[in-house]
Amino acid sequence: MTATRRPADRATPWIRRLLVAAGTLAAAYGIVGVLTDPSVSLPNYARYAVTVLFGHDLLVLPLAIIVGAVLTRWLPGWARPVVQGALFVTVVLTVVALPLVLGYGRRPDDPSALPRDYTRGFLLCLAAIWLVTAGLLAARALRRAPSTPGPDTQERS
Amino acid sequence: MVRVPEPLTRLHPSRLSRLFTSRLRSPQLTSRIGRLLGIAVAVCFVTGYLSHAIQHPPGWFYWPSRPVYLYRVTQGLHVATGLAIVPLLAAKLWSVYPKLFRWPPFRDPVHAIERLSVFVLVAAALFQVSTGILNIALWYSPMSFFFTTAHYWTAWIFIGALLVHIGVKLPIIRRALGAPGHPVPTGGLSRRGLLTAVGAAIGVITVATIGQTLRPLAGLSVLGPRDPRVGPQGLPVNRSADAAGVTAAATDPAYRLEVVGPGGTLRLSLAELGALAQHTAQLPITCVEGWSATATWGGVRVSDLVAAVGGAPGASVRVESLEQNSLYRISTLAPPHAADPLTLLALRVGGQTLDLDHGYPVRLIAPNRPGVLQTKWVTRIEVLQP
Repeated sequence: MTATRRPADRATPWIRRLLVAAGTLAAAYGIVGVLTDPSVSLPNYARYAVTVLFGHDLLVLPLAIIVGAVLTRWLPGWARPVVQGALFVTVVLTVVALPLVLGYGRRPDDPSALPRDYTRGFLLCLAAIWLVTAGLLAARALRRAPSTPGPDTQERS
Repeated sequence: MVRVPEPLTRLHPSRLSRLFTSRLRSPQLTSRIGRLLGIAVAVCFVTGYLSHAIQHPPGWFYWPSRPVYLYRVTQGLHVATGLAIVPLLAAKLWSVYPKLFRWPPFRDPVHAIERLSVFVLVAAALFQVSTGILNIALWYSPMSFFFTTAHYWTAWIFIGALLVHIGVKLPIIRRALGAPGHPVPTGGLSRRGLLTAVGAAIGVITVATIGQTLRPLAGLSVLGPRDPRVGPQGLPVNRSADAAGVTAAATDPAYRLEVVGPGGTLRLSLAELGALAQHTAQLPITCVEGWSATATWGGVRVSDLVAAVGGAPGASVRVESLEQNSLYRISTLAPPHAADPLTLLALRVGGQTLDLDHGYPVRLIAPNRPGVLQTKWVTRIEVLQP
């Protein structure tokens, strides 16, 4: 890519136009489909789409940022990244697991639909995540301890 | 002039985006996550379109009957990749979140349209991921619309808005991906750290669910919506005979399978079907929801029945169920599947008579097809001449 910088620069505006044009066509096809397909039931579709958009942008994401900031605020600098990573994994796993844990999809006539104990499964996953996290923190603490003797080696996890 | 007290001026829209202080956010980070997310979305779109085209084939479309496991792979990939999008999308949206509060909201009309297209993109992305998760969890009540068509049309909106977005941001993406990656002090996760966390999340989610289609991992997949080992005769069921309302008709001793072709019509009792040449086929049953399970099916070859009523080898075959009110009451076997020797009207699974929930007395099982087209409780097949 770097070897042919000049032709690439000349092609770029055309690539951009092509992407925007193709994208507009595809999106228009989808929008016309949503508007005209009666099985979509437009008012319900629109309500759902607006709910997930605003639910994410104005509720779930800011809440996740605030909770994450509060939970990691008083952690020492060496522990913070690991805990932040673990919180991230926890939160996205929860998104996937929650509908299964709630189990509204279970069917009395079909025991093979949602056959597992998902609360147990979710807790097992959380245990695995936080066990690994504890291991990483312990490794960091050990690596850190000999190099910086002093009062700030207190361990928190 | 009124001086607004300090805490309130901080919430003024023009200052809102400055509340976000993480130095981890950068075009470099966003572009790196975006590249992975773009690949994942492309995989979902292609595999999803494929599944749609198999069920509603356009004129130009051809789908082979071999390899027998191909649909199992593409649909398993569709659901697994869709779940992997959750952490990618979460990190991507976090990385650009302050831009939502940009002030003034737009510079000019073109910028306003571009921002509107981003709203469409984010809404479509969240729609696809959330409805996909609800669907595999069989939780339909929050979706008061028909999932299948809504998910299909929104996929076009999603991919289209994504292409527009890439087109608009291409110079930023190129610059960001071409720039030398130097670590930025963040006071928390580094860029590499966040990407590792995203990777770890994809790993956990995948291992926790992929066993619904990869049997060796079924024991590990504690969050698999299905278990390929669990169900009547060790095989999952999507729609029970009771739910389909066919129990009485399927167990009626007067049951006859009607076979219609250019050479005439056969009406076969279960005993007569059992007296025809029997074959076995080891084939997966693959649900559009991403689970699959292999079983050994035994029964009569569809191609034998087609020949018995004078059908030509290149014919399509329409298969009808006893089920009355279902979108999938009828499925049509395209010529490659109708002629395939592995395509059976199965009477048995794993050596036993089919369970009522697996389609007793007779079900269709063909290689490389979605489960919704593997019609259960078959009452009639008709040869459609080419």
